[in-house]
Amino acid sequence: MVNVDERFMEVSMGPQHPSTHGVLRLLVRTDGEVLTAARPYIGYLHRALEKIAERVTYPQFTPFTDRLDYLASMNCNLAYAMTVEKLLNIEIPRRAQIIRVIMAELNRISSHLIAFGSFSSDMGAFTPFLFGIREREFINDLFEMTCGSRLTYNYIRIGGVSKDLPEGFIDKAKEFLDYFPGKLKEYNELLSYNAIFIKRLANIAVITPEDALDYGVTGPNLRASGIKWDLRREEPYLIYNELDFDIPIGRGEMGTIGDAWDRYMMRIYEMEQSTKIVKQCLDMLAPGDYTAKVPKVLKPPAGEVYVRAENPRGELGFYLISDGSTKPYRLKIRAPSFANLSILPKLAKGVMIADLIAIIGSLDIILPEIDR
Amino acid sequence: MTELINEIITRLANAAPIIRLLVVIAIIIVSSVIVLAVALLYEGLATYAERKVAGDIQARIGPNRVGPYGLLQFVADGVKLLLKEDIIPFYADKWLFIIAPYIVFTASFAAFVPLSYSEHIYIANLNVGVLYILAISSVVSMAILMGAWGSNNKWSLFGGMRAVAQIVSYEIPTVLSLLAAIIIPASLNMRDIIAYQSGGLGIFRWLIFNNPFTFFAFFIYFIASIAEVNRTPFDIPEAESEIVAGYHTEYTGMRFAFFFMAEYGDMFVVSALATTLFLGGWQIPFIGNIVMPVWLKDILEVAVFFGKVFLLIYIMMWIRWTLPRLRVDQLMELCWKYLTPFAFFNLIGASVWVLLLHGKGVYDIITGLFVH
Amino acid sequence: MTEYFKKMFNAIKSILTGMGITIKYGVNPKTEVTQQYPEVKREPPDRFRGKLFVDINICTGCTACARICPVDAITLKTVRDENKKLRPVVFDIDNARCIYCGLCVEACPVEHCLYFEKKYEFSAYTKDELISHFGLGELKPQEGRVEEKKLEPKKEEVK
Repeated sequence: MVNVDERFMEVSMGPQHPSTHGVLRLLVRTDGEVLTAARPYIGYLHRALEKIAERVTYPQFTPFTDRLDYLASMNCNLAYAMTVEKLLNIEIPRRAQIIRVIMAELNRISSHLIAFGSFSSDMGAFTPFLFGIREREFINDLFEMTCGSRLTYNYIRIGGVSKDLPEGFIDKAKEFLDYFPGKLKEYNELLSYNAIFIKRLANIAVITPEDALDYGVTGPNLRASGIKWDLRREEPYLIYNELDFDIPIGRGEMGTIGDAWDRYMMRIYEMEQSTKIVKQCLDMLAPGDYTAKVPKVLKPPAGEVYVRAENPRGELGFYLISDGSTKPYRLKIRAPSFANLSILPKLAKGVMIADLIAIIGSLDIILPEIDR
Repeated sequence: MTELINEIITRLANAAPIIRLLVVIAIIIVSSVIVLAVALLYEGLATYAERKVAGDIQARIGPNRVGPYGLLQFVADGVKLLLKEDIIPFYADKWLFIIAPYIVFTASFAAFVPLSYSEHIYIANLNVGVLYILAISSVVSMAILMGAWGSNNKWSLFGGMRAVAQIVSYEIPTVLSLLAAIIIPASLNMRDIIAYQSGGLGIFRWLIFNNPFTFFAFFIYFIASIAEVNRTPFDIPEAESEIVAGYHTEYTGMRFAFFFMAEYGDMFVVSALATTLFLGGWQIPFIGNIVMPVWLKDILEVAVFFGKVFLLIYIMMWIRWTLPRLRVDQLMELCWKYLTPFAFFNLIGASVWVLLLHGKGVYDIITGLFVH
Repeated sequence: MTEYFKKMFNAIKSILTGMGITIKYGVNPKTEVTQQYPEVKREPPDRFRGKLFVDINICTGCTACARICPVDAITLKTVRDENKKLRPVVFDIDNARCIYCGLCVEACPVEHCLYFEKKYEFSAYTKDELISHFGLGELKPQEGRVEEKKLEPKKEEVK
C-alpha cells in the first residue's frame, strides 16, 4: 500500500488549462480549500532554441527570437539585435532607433492588452478580453502594414530595421493613439475599479520588495512592489534617455503595496505611458537611413557580451559567446517569465484555489519564454 | 386548462373505470408533453439568446450562420450533444451518476406548473404556488450533490459541495424578501397575488411600488436568485470549475445538456416568480378598461408576462457578461453579512407598514387623499 | 458601521458603472466589429507575407535563399545549361516548414523573382500538396532535402 498522506489532496492542474497561459503543469496540494504547496512543472514547450542558435548564423536566428515571447515579438527581436550589435560595435542610424522605439512600445501595449484580457477572463469577466483583442487589431494592422506579419514580425534586425515605415503609417498610428486613451478609461471603469474585482485581488499574494529582489522578479511585478527599476531609465538604450515618460510604481491603492491588484494596475499605467512615448517618437521622426551598413556575412569578433532589454514581462537578457565564426558559440537567453514563475511556490502557500488563478494571471507568465 | 380538464372528467362520470383511468393517463401525458415542449423550446432559445447577448456586449456578432439569424443554432447544438459518446467513469456510482441530471431537470421543469401566464391560461391553480416553487427548486441542490458524489472525482465533489453551500445559504434572503411581498396580498396563490395587483392603470399597484420595503425586497430577491441559479458573479460551481473541474465535468452529451438546460429553466422560474410577485404578473400597463375580445386580451397578457420575464432574464445575462466572479468565502460573506440582515430588517419594516396601514400601498394612500 | 455602508455603496456604484458600459455595447449594433469572413475578405497590405512564389524564368540559381532559410524549407538543385548559366531544375518550397520570415525574399539578388503573394488560404488534405514545385526540370517525387545524384541538363527554352 502506498503511504498516502490522507490529510492533503494532491491534484495536478495539468498541462491543459482552460484559462491558460501556456502549457504549465502545477502540482497542487490542498487541505480542503486552502493550498499548502504548489509546484510548477515546465518543459512541455521546450524547442531547444539555444541549441538551434549554435547551428544557424546570426541573421538567421532573428525569426527564432520572435517565437520566444510571441506576444512581445518586437522587443525580443530588439534585445537580440542589440546583443549582436554590441559585439559588432556598430552604430544605428537615428531614424532606425526611433522606429525601433515606436515598434517596441506599440508591442508593449499589445502585450499588456492580452495580459489584461486573459487575466480578466480568468477572473470571470469575459468581456474585457474581447475589448482588448479589438484594440489589438489596430496595432496588428499597423504592424502588418510595415512588415507584413501580425504576430511574429522579424522586423528589427541586426543593424536597424528591415524595411522603412510605409506611407500612411504615421497618420494611422496617430489615429490609434487618439482613440486608445478613451478605451483605457473604459477598462478602468468596467473592470479595474469594480468592487468585486478589487475584492478578489486586494491583499492577495503580496510580493515584498526583498522577495522580489531575491527571486529575480522583474518588470511590472517588481515595480508593483514599490521598487522603481526600469531598464529604460537605468541603462537607457536606443533613444529612451531623450523621451519624457514616468515609471509607475505600486502604491498600494487598494490594499498592500505589491498585491495582485497593483501588478494588474501596473500594466494599465504602463499602457498609458507607452502611448505617450509613441506620440513623442512619431513627432521626432526625420528622414534618414533605416539600417546601418552591415556586412552580408556577419563575423563578430570573439568575445562574450550580455545585453538586457525591458520586455513587457520583465528583463530579457541575451548572453552571447562568439568565437569569431558566423555562428554563435553559445547563446543563453534569460527569460523574464522564468524568474517570475519561480516566486509562485512561495506565494501560493496558504491561499485558496481561486486565488492561485489570480496569482498566475497577475504574474503574467508566458510559457514559450520559460521553456524556450 | 383546469376547466377543460374538469369538463372532460365530469363528462366521463358515467364511463367505465378503465376508460377513466386511460383518459386521465392520456391527459397527464398530453399536458406534460405540451409543457415540456414549451419549456424545451424556451431553453433552446435561451442558449441562443445568451450567445447573442454575449456577442452584442462583446462588440461582436453571436451565432448567425445556422438558420435565419442563427436561430437554429440550438438545434445544431442539441444534435451535437445527442451524438456524443456517453461516458460513465469506471469507478463512478452508476445509479447516482445517471439519476442526478434527470432529477435536476425534473425539479426545474416541475416548477413551471404553478405559473400563470394570463387570466385564463395556466397549468394548475395551486393554493400554495409560491411555497411549491421554492420547495421544488431546493431539490436541485440535492441533485447537484448527487451528481458530484457520483462522479467519483475529487474536484467534482468540491464543486458540488460549494454549490450546495451556496444554494442553501442563499435561500434565506430569497424567502425573507419574498415574504416582505407576500404579506400584502396575504396569499400564496400565484393567481390571487396577480389579481391583487390589478387596477391602478395596470402599473401603480404592482407590489414593487407598494412600499419602499418591497422595493428593496425586489433587489435583494433578484441578487439572491442569481445565486440560486448559479450565474456569474456567483457561478463558482459551474465555471470556476472551468479552471479546476466542476460538478458536471464527468458528464457528456445529453446528460450535460440536462444540467445546462435546467439552469435556464431555473432562470425562467425565478424570473417568473419575481414578475408575479413584484412586477404585476400579466397585468398590462396603461390599458385601462378598453373593451376587447377575450382571446386578444389573453394574447396580450401572455405577451406582457413573457416580456417582463425576458427583461429580467436579459438583465441576468447582462450581469453575467459584466462582472467577475466572487470567491467562495466572499460569496458566503455577501449572503450572511449583507443580504440576510437586510432582508430581515426589510421584512420587519414591511410587516410594520402592513400593520399600521392595513396593507395599503403608496398608490392607495395617494389616491385615497384625492378621492374623498 | 459607516464603513459597512460605505463599502456597500461603493460596491453598488462601481458595479452600476460597469454595467452602464456594457449596455452601451449591448444595445448599439454599430459597435460590432466582426467581419463575416468568407463573404467579406480583407485585402492584405502590400508587404503581406503570404505564400511564396518564384518566377523561375528569371531565377539565377544562386541558392542564396536556400542557404539563408532558418528552417531549410527551400530545396534547390541547379545545373549549368548550354549557355553556361545556372538554371534551377529542382526548386521546391515546403510551405509547411516555411515560417514566413521573409529572409529568403530579402536575400534574393534578382528583383521580383522570389516574393510573397497575398495568398493566405492554401489548406490541403495531404502534406505533399503543400510543397510547391517551381523547378524547371523533370520533377522527381519529393524526397526531402537535396539529393546526391546529378541530373542531366535538359534543353529548355529560355524566355
